Amino acid sequence: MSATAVTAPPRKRSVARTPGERSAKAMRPWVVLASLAFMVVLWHVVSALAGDNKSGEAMVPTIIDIGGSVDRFADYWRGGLGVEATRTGGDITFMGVVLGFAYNVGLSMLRLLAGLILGIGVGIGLAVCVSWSRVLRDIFTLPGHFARMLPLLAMVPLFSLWFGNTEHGSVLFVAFTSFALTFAIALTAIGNVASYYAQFAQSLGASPARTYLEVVLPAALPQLRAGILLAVGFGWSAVIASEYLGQEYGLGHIVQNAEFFGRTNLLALVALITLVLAAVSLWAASRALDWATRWAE
Amino acid sequence: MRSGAISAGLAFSGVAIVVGLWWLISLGADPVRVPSPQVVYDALITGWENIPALSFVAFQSGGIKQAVTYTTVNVIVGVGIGAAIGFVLGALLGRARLARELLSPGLFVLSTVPVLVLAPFLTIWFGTARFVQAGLVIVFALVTVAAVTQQATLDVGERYTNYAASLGARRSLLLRAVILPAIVPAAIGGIRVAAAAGWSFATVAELLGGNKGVGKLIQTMQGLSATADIMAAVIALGIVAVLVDGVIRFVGQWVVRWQE
Amino acid sequence: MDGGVATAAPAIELRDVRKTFRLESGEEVVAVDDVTLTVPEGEFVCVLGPSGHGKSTMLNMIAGFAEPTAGEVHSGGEPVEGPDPRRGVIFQRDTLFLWKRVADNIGFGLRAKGVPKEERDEIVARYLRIIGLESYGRAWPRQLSGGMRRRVAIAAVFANEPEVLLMDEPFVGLDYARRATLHQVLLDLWERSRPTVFFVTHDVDEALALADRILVVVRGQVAMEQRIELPRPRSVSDLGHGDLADLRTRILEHLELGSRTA
Repeated sequence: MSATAVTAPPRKRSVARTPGERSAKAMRPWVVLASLAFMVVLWHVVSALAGDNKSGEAMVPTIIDIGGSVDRFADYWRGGLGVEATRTGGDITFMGVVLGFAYNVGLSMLRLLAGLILGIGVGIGLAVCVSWSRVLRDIFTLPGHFARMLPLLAMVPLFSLWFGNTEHGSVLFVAFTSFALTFAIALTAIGNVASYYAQFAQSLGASPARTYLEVVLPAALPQLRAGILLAVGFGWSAVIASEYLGQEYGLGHIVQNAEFFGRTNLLALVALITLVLAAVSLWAASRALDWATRWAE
Repeated sequence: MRSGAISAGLAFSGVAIVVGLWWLISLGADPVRVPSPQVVYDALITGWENIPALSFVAFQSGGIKQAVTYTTVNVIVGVGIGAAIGFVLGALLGRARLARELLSPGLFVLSTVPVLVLAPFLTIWFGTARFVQAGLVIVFALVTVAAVTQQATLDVGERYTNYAASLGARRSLLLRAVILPAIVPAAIGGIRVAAAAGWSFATVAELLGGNKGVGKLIQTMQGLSATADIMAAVIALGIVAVLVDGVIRFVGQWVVRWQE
Repeated sequence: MDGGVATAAPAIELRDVRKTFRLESGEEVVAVDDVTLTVPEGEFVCVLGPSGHGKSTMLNMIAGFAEPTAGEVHSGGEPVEGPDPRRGVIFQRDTLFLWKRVADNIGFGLRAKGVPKEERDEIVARYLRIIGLESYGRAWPRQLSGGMRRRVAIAAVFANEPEVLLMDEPFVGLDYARRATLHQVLLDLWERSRPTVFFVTHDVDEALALADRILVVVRGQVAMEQRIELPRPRSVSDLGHGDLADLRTRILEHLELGSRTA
């Protein structure tokens, strides 16, 4: 999950990228493809050696196994829109598969998005308010650091106890993890802005408020990049954990269900889907951050 | 410049403010859902050595102390293994194009897939073995440290190797005296991030498929609605995590004490 | 200068100013050692001296970034109590706001003053023209060369029309040709509004080329003071002959003496 995102000590080159895109000297595509092909072959050899589990599904599912489990998504459609749920006796239909896929993927993405917006927004917003005063920043540094070091993902049960297995319980859980990750990093980033920027702004007659909003905060932005990408990557794990333990629909629930019934093929399919979704969301987030810091050297 | 005593005072007043807020919330809330700081503190003291319910429900002996120790060892060993592999791998990836071409796709997958969907497979394949609980930590530490080390190696390659070569440094000396010191600071930054996240991954792995540790304790106590015990264990582990982070930072600063 | 009230107060005045720092080891270091000096309005003063001998500390106190340990710092008859847009500062390091386009960097001080947008745009365009970067208004600072960035920094401060200009080794690290160009740009701008300039440098030739008066600062004290009456711009041959050549030798002797006993 987003190894992309790493807070090294502040320095110009801390803009990390995913391993795939970071080659300074161009990679030869055919070698990369050969490597990929080899991995796929190796995967299928291991699959043949590993055999089946008690439910009759492969311990290590092949591409064909994974593709064949797509219609399982019909089992996770709640019913409606003219397609009856399979648990109430409906047949597996193409529409059922499409609706089940869209519903569960959509739910997970919405929960993630709402949680991230809330958590990152409050995290950075609070850090901005607190950092206005150096005393306040010093006061909240230790609690912020402590929150970041908590076993965040394993705190789902607390959110279940507090909010029940509700929709806003899941969203608040994602928000909590992304808040804990961005708040501490934002405090550090704002604290690290070189003082000469503020001095220059003040010598030009800028008020403290203008200096803070137009000079200190933008200067801190590049350092927030790592924290935001980390929160996005973590957010996916948080959504899945929350759905795994207490939701009736969503990708995390499918993971739980598939694991319980030994449906490794479906499990692998969901893993593949989340891989793609996480890659897309990390890509989108890093493009947005690139745009916001397009001025940076 | 502020003196150490004042900084420490401010830091602890921050903790006091947070605890105070928590206490205020607990006044107006259902004590089962939000126990007061006092209740959680009592739970920590009485449950430190032994929580009887744990052995009835989860066949896990001991109390918070045993759970925290188990998880802490998993995290430290997991981060250690992952970081060691990641460091070597990152340096290799930064130096050799062939390694980049062969391994980048695999690392990209590992660094992008939400670690949590790997957990069920580890459980299915390897059961509740201890290294499964550390498995997510290892994976995350590996990809994180590999990524930063690779970037640092690529950077130093451009910056120093020509200079060192012009001074007549041989390949082995170049590696030992130039490249290694230049990439260690980045790797330490990566290790701190990996360790911070490690607490999450180790406990959630225990929660979803383990039979020991803080994760298992949380899962068991949720069934009994023992919120105070959960919070006590989470806070105890958080304190250990802050201490471990402090040690890593201290050692890291010593290792790169030549840095400006 | 403003409102036509001709005040006799000097633009910059230091009275028995002392500044000490405490090192991490606990040792006390005197950066500025009981300095008294005045700079009348409109004068271009170059403060010359080795690195670490208190020049920048003096400048920081005049700018209002640092307070003297003892003594008083006045500017235009008022005590200095913090940064003020009437005293523009150009730093040694590049302080352009990387996240603002070139034009917005130049207009920043005007915006802080509340100058309306149309008037501001006009002023910014004029300064872009003067520094020869008309077509770079929409560029990001990172797209400019080192010399171009210094020009923008100078324009950003001049656009604010300061009464006093404090420059802390602004052209360090540039090659001879770029430096000469920037001297020209600086003198051009200076001739238009004639602010008082307090220019810190460790380059003797730079001081000889620019100054009305040179102050040599060694170990926190003014070791030597000399007026230069020669008109500007001063050519290379001016610097190499006659009075200036003699002055150059005398300054170097002072600097050498200072470094030997330091």
